[in-house]
Amino acid sequence: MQKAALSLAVIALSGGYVLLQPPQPANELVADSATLAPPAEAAPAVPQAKAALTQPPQPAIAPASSVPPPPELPETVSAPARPIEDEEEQHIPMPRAVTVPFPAPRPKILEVAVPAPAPRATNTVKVTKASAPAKVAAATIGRFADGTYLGPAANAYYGLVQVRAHVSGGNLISVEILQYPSDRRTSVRINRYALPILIREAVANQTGNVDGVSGATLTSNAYRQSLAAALSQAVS
Amino acid sequence: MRETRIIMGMPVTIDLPRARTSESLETIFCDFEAVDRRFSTYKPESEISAINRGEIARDHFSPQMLEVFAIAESTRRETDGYFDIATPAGRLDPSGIVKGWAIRNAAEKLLATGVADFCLDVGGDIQCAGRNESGEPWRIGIRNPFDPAGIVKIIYPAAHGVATSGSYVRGDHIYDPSLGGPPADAPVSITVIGPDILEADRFATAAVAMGNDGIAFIATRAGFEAYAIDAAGIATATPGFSNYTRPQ
Repeated sequence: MQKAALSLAVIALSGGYVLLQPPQPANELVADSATLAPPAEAAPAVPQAKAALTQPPQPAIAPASSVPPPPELPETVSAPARPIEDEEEQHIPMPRAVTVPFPAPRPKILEVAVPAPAPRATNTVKVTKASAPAKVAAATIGRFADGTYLGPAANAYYGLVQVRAHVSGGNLISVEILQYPSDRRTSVRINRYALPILIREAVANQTGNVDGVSGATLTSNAYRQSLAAALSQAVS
Repeated sequence: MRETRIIMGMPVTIDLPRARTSESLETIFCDFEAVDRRFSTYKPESEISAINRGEIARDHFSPQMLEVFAIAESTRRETDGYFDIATPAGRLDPSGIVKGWAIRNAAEKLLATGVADFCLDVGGDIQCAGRNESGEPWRIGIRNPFDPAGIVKIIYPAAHGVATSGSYVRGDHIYDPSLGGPPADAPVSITVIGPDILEADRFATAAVAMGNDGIAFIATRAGFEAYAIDAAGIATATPGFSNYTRPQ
């Protein structure tokens, strides 16, 4: 349960802007991949700060013991970062771990931020700016116990995403993307550019006067079939 | 002054809250009808139908046709081929460009003739400017795809364009060129807010063709926001979408 809670937080934080976003106010948690990519089993580097989270997550869940990472997953690489622009759309071997900064969370009640897929890269992506001050995360999510945490593979709308979070000083300092969709060419293309945070919510009718309505007017068989399939899952 | 007519097979509403005569309104309706006569793939006498029958050499295409084709080609490149007016049947169907293009032209004409307040709605693609009849920002609803009488969001697009596309609209007219048919995993609908209605419309169409990747594609484009709804009734919004859910 605690693990699940953290995983949610990790997922929520694992989206971010990597390349196209304007620089955020700099902070000391600059996610230079070389410094923020400790091996998974690394002990927390910084003494634990006061943990204000109601249910502090279990520290140092060893990925290898509890939830083994994919067998082909190597340690986080610290090879020299290659400019991502150099990587034209091509099929390159499956990813190694990629370290990205955690983004500014955009918390909303009943909304969950979903990360887009991670950049596709064979080397660690070099990121020059962290995208959010740690205090934002702390204020929103609460402080964490130091350690390294492996999240479950979660459906991030275009496929499965699995991340590993590194907490130091009570704050989330980096998130590694261990798994992300790479089977679709658009995903790959998007991955090269950015990790947008997408907000998800259940739709419900709103009331209020409007001057116009944007929408599709006619439904077709495809839509009805899709809806029926979704609803059949809901009742089974 | 507000009136709805059926043109291009869809309801066209022109709302000019400050207009004292119907002159502007009639002019815009006439323009839309002219666009329909030229670009309708359902009318055998249209220019596009003649082109598809091979009866017109490229040298004799109208300037309007060439402009639409140029926009279509640039959209095809910008969307990695997901937007393509060449249908699997080997014909050209530029309707994914024409609607937004026609609305944008109408908006420009209104602004150029001193009409500062308007809302143009062509089949659910909307371009507003200025204020509504009450002097307030235009309020646009996003239709609930599961309940056509309901709206799931109210947005304030100001002078931005709002276009909604779905895999189910008008008989699956959106194709994934890599599959030769509509994408299987497409959202039920995706609403795109863009710099103007032409931009919003062409990228909404492309986003639907991309299936579940579409929303992220929009998110990576500066100046665009989107709200996609899937078959399970879950909406996914781009990070800046909420900026439009309150008056600006």
